[in-house]
This record gives sequence, C-alpha cells and structure tokens, in this order.
Amino acid sequence: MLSYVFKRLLALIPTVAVPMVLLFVLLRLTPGDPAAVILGENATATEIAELRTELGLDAPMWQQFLDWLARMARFDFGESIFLHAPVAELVLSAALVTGQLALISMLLALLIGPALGAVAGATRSRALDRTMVVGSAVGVAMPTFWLAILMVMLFGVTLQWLPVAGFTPITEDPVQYVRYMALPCLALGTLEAATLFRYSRNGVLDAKHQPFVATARAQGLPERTITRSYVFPAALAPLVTVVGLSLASMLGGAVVTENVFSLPGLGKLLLTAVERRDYPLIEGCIFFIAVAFVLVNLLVDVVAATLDPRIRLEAKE
Amino acid sequence: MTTNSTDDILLDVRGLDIDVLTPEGPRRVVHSLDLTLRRRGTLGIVGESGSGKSMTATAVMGILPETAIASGQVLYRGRDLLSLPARERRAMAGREMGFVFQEPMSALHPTKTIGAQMAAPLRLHLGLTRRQARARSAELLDLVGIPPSRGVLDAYVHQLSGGMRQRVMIAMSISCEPDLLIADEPTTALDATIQKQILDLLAELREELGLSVLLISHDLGLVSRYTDDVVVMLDGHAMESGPTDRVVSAPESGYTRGLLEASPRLGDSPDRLPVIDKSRFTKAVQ
Repeated sequence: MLSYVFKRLLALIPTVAVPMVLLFVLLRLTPGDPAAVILGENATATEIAELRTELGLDAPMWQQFLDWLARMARFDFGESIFLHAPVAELVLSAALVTGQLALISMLLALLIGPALGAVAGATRSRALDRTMVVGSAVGVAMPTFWLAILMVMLFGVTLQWLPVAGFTPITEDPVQYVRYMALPCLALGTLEAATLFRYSRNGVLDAKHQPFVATARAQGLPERTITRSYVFPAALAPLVTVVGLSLASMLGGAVVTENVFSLPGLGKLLLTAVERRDYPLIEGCIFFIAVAFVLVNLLVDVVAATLDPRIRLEAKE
Repeated sequence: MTTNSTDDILLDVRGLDIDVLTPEGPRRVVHSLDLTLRRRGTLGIVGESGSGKSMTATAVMGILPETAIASGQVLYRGRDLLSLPARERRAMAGREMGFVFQEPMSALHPTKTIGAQMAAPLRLHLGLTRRQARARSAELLDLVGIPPSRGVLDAYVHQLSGGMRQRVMIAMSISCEPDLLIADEPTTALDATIQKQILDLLAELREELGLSVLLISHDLGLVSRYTDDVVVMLDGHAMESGPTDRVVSAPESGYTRGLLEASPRLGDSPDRLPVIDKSRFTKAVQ
C-alpha cells in the first residue's frame, strides 16, 4: 500500500507538468496583452512597451519558457501582475474558501443523496420511488447558477433571511460565516445530492437482484437484515469513485457558484486572473487545481480499495 | 425403502403450479407437478434449461423471485409451506432446509468475508455468539474438506478456487443442521474432476448427517449415480418419475430415452451429436 502511494505520488510530476507546459503555450498564443490590460484604454504605445519590458514579456519565447521552467522547478510562481501580491498567498487563501465550500457541500450531499437513493431503491412503493426519481432528475438537469439565483431571490431578496452575497472568515465571525456560506453550500450540495441519489438508487436496484441476496434469503435472514447488510454495502461501495470525481471538480473551483455568491474562492480568482491576463496568477491557480485533482483521485483509489477487497492497488511498472 | 407411510415422507409436493408475471401477462412455467422425497432419501429433478426445475427448487425453498407465484401444495413434514405466513416461511429457510446454488462466485457476497457470511445464520437460528459462530464455521469448513489452516474464514470469495467456493457454499447450507438439502445444479460451474469431488462430498454428508437431498441437474447420467428416485421435466411438466434404476434402465418416456442416448460415452465419437426433438414429447400447449 505505502509503496503504491509513493509511486502514485511520483507519477504526479508528469501529470502536473503536462498541463502546465500546455498552459504556458496556450496563454502566450491567446490574444490580449497583459500590459495593455493593466494600463487601460488611454495608455500610449510607449507606456505599454515599457511595461512589457518590465514584465519580461518582450523577451523571445524560448527565453521566457526557460525562465518560467526555472521558476516552476522552484515552485516560485512570482507575483500577481494585477494584484501585486505573491501568487502562492493569493491561491492558498482562495483555495481555503473553495475547500470549505466543497467539503461542506459534499458533506451535505452525502447526508442526503445516498440515504434517499437507498430508500428509493429498496422501497416497494412505486409512487415514492417515482416521486424521488423525478425530483432528482430536476436536480441533475438544473444548472447550478439557476438554482443559486432562485435561492438568492427566495432567501436573500424575498424573505431576507440571509445575505445575498459575500464572505466572512469563520475566525472573524462564526455566525456571519454560517450566514454567508449557507446558500452556496445548499445550492451546490443539493445538486450534488441529486447525482449521488441516482447512483445509489441504481446501485441498490442492481444489488438486490444479485444471487448473493438469494443466498441470504436461503439462509433465512430477515429481509430487513438482507437489505441493510447485504444489499447496501454492495450498492454503496462504488459511490466512492463518484464522490471523489465530484469533489475534485469542486476543488477546482465552483466557478459559477462562487461568482453568483461573490465568494473569494479559487474559481472566482481564476476567472478574474484570466480576464486580466494575469499570467502568473493563472499558472498558480492551474497548478494548485491539477495537484488537488491528482491527490483526490489517489485518495479515492485508496478508500475504494479498503471498502472493496476485490480492488487491489497495483502500481504499473 | 419400500415402506411408504406418511411419517416416512419429508417433502410432498402436490399439484404445484408456478406462474411468472411477464409484461405480456402471467406465464405458467411449472404445471401441476408432484414430487415425493422420503426421509434420508435422494430425489433428482432432471431437465434442460427452461424446464422449470430450478423454479421448482426455489419454490420449495420459498425464495421464488417476486415476479413468480406458486400454487398447489408443498407439504413439508405434513405442513403446507405455501399457506404459511412469509415470516414463518423465511425462518424455516436455512434452519430446516439448506440450499446450494449453482454459481458460488456470485452466490457469495463480494465484499463480506466468508466467516461473516457463515456466521449470520448460525447467530440467527442457533443463537450462537460471535465467537461460537466463528468456531462452528471453522468446524463446518473442516467437515467439507477445508482445513482451518487455509484461512478461508477471513478470505473473500474472489480469493478462492471454484471447488473451494462450492465447498464453502455447502458448508453454509448445512450449517444449521437442516433436514433437507436442495442442490440446484451444484456442479455445473465446476470442471469434471471437481464435479465428482463435490458430489461425493454431498453423498458423504448425507450419510453422516442423515440429510434428505433434492438434486437438480440437467445431467441424467450424473443424477442417476446419486439419487434413489428421479423426476424428468420438460417445459414445466413431469414427463416421467419413479425409482432412478427403473427410469434409467427402462424409460417409459421417449424424452427420457432421448436424454439417455444423448449422454456422451467414453470411446464413442459420433460425427453428429444426437438431437432430441422436444416437440414430439412436450405436454405444453404450443
């Protein structure tokens, strides 16, 4: 197990390096000059040229690449061109917000989705099952931003229970923190719950017709015991993979949710950085997202292997 | 063996009909079937796929799929199982009768240890503690030829060989000392040498534990070696039934004769395999 994890961690280097190089190339191919964006519409050509020299953007591409490579190798992401702060600091503080949003939403989804899915899969009531399936279909089909906006209108504008947008760190004011985080987590969590509901319902429906259920019946076990300790474990183990993938993509920044609710998270930071052609900041964000994605996937594989003895962790030689 | 008093009969199936609900409506898959299994006796049910033999076995066990309905009488020690409440019926499964499935790989739970799966009925029916159940499971595995040193209790089904899996399945089915053992194609998933080992094991256990055995198979030759009586089924009807020796040596039904002729013999290599024209024999309405 340990050697497997170590090998996977080594494999992280190429997995992260490839998107980073691609990113370097794509950014420089994209039209739009950071110097022009920073100085605004009224800047003269001379001012723009001076700033380009200052930012090192007028050097030949190969030289820029070598400089960039040297900095990346040292994990030196430099300073944000626009925000004038170290990229590492900006990314980490944004990632902290996104991380909280992702974890709380996923926790919420895990509390609701699989439980309802298991009920829908196991129930004999067709009406109950149908109702839940239709509800989840709405949840899966509904775009995040739409649900988010509806929630803002209801809880923020009409009822005025919760603030419409913004953020306060939990360390400053826990009550305000909860008030600000409630809606985004609810929006993201509800939609994720719909996905988990569908996977777990299908898992239960599949598992309850497996031959091992007939065996348990032939042993005389009560139906309730069979459902609880034979059907559910077999149905829910594959859920780990789904949860992992969703979590990884949430960590990559819930761009839409963060923008609707003005949460200072990774998605919002990345969007701003792209708009302003803030090369170092974009690189920092993407680097973090790539690493997070790989690490979450590794975690998922390890957890899946502990839940299902058939999965063996073997590093490819 | 010649006495036929009611005390001597463990299982008596009378006029069993099984209907399966399909989108096109109910379809009868077993037609007024009669079976009699004597205490400590062995009864074989032979038939091809779709003959209704497995349906019959699951109906006796009370584990028919939700879409199937059995009617008629299944008398076990004189009590009609079909009229028992579901809960009482379920309580008899495992305790009074054990069931060996065809495919142990899928019939055993993929993510529970063998020990955990064996312990469940022991704790339920016999009220054993966790520790007692584990000790008893080890004994049972030993009885079916798996010494404790193999560590099978803590293994998962995918880690065992085909023969071991079926041995585990058998150990599970006899764990609560049932009187009736139903084996539904217990060796179909195994290769020929293991097949014999498993059937010999079943025969030994029957002797030792005084079991009555209902053996379901598509292989008349195999059934003839291990049973006292046999029922030959085709399309849900019993074509022929009686003492195995008689059925094999002087079959009354042309279908039985066809089955006997179809079994391969050593040194005999025909150019074409014999074909049985079912339509000549079937009692089903075509």
